[in-house]
Amino acid sequence: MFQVRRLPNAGTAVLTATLVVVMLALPALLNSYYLTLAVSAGLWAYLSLCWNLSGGYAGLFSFGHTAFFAAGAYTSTLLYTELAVSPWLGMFAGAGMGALLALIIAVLAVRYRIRGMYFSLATVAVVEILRPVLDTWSSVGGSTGILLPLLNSPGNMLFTQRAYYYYVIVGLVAVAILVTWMIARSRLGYYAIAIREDETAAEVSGVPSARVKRQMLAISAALTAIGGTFYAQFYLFIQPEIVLGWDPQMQMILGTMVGGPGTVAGPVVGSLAFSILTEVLQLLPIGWSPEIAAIVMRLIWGVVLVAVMLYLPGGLLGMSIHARKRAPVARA
Amino acid sequence: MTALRIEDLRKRFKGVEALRGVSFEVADGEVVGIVGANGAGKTTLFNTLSGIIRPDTGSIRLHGQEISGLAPHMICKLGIGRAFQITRPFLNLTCLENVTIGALNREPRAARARERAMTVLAQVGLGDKAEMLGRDLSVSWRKRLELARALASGPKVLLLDEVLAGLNELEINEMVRLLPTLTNDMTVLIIEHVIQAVLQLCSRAVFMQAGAVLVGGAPSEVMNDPMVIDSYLGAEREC
Amino acid sequence: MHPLDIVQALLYGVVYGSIYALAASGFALTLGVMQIVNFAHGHFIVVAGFLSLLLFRLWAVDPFVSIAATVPLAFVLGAAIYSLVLKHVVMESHHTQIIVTLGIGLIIENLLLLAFGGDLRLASTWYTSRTLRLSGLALSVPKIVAAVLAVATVALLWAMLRYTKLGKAIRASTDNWQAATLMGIDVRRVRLYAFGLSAVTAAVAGSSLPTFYLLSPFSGIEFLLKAFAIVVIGGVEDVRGVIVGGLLLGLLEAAAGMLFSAALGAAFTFAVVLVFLAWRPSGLLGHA
Repeated sequence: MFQVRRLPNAGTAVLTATLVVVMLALPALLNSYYLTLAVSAGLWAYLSLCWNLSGGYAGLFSFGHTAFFAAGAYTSTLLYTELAVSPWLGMFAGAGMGALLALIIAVLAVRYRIRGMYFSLATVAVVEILRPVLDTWSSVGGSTGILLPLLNSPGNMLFTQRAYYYYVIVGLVAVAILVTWMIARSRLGYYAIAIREDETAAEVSGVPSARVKRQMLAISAALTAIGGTFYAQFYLFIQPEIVLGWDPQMQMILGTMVGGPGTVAGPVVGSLAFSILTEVLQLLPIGWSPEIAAIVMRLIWGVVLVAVMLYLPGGLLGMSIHARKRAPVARA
Repeated sequence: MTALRIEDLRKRFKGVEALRGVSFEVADGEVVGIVGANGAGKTTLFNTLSGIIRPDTGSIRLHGQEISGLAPHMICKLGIGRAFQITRPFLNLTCLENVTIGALNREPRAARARERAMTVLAQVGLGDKAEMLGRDLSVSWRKRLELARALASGPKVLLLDEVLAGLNELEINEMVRLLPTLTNDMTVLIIEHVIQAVLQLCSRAVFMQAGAVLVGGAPSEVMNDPMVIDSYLGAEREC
Repeated sequence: MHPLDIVQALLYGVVYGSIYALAASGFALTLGVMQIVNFAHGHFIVVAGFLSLLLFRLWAVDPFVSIAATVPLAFVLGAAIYSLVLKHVVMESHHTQIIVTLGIGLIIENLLLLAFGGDLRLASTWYTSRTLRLSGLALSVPKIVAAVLAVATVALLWAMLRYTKLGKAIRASTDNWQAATLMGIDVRRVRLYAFGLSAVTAAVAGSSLPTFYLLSPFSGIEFLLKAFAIVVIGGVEDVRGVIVGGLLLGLLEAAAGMLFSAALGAAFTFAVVLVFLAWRPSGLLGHA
């Protein structure tokens, strides 16, 4: 199911460079609608990359990353609306909050040996506790949420021109890719995948599993929280129902699992595929309304998910590299 | 120099006493065979030595330092390496990655660790299989991988749990020939049922039954002890 | 607080608890017998609910009566899903199973959305808005019927597991499938039937729902989380674990509803789940 990491080579570098050029030029080529789409696609690619660190590499299958997402969104937004702190700074505070939450979860999970699907359930529980708490807490907006002002204030990460948001999210994606790549080729990365594969065997081989889990979850959470800040600044509205919803969490996971968990580019590929296909479906001359197209897209994604898990266990990227080496779970 | 001093180790699992006051010493560089029927407590002993299980009472001293109750990774850092009875390779990782993880115990820089891992892989004869995934290896190759990963972690004391189990005669001879070249001056504890190997590899042997060490001494002495023969009665003996 | 309020809450807890227990029994069955985490279990319940609703809308079939139709259908569908997809992931990690069943859940949810739209629905019969009143206590009639049906079904399941040949085969396969195979049990067929059975319990639970619950295609996850919570609290080894877990969950929710607001009540329930995860994840009746 998880694919083996591969270190980049010259061909990859050229491809990457071309992609980079295209991506930087995009705002000039797209109209407002597609630019918004690009920003959204970028955000989901970014969040999938963040989730991948914890779920794809360390095997910490968290269903509660929205908690970190919310931590970032609410921290930076409240700092801005209440104390006029620029979200450029606030996002680091948000990252800190996310990391803190992650550390608490990781320490408790290790202490009480909460692993595997029980860990996943525990993360769900965290979100299910957080949402009603935020809903009833009026000083942080309660269930009505918080609105951000619609103005142009670059110093406060507010732009009227979408292109700037685009560049910010592209930058964030680049950072996430870089962080993933650096971790993957470092001792932390090796240790993380060892834990994912077999925690006990890893430990007797010298892997400090508790520490590695804390680190991977904290890094993943901090980055996710920054994504939360970006979300708030772009959509200008946060609310517990949305920010702690099941949908965002699913999107983080689905993109990664289909694209290739435990790879650097997998989450981006999977997530972008989802975003692009959704748009393509709407453009098809079938006369589907956007809502119906979205439903059909999710239907297709369910099928893709099942098919990938059965026949392409390493995800799309795993397939391309280890097609010969990895036998499918199901013999067709 | 005493590499390992085990004193009065006891472990109870829900009414079953798996270890009942195990005590013995292993000197530096010794290769000690641990024999006994299934259920005698041999693997439990290894589990306490590598830190997977915490003993109820008793002490384990590695070169004078008390290690019972320490976390497994600390024990590995201090110098105990472990190969499991039923191999536990990292299935979705390549052989190289498997062994690199072991090598990282001594060499924190990933690139250097990979190099070291490559060397160890070549030593155990898996050099050409470096890019094969753990799950694609046969049993005998998995045994070698397990060995390589443990060796790469730079142990002073190596715990081998039935490293010959599941191998055919040819593979057993191969392994018996290979092991001494790999372990050199390392201290080794071998749990084994293949008597021939115990006789060939070990300088000393201990016999365990029902959680206690009953006989100890030169391998040929131990294997000819009436109590030991009794417990193996009915099982095939290789001389 | 009036003592009658407490009794009312207790009653509420028992009634809902019974229904929850039934909803969770299928999930526990697959988890125990096949070690398969079925994240689509909640969606099975929802499908049954919609089917029952459909029969009601088209031919005025009473939801409780529709069970006669939804049950065999559920068995067939469950067996189909198992044969096509799930039997391949029996030996895989829980992560793989979660993703696969999430995928199945997605498919079901969105098919339902396409077929029925996203609104919440309810079936209204002559008794659905009736309330039974007894010495100051009030309980809605459909819920009572659903609870009684739930208890009966779980009892039937328990009896079936204990006394029938298939039931014994299932229990043997749960304890030690290798040994079961050696004893001549066709473990693969047992798993198939067990999954069908799991779908059947979901069908009974789901078919009752439209009489008192606002059903939506999105309800799947909610039911799954309840089932999961019950399995954690009560344990998976035994049907009794599901009953204990279900009742406890129902009572917990009732207590939370009394002490806190409705929203925070849900948070309280999950806080309890967290405590159980830390303290005794195999459940009250499970082996530690």
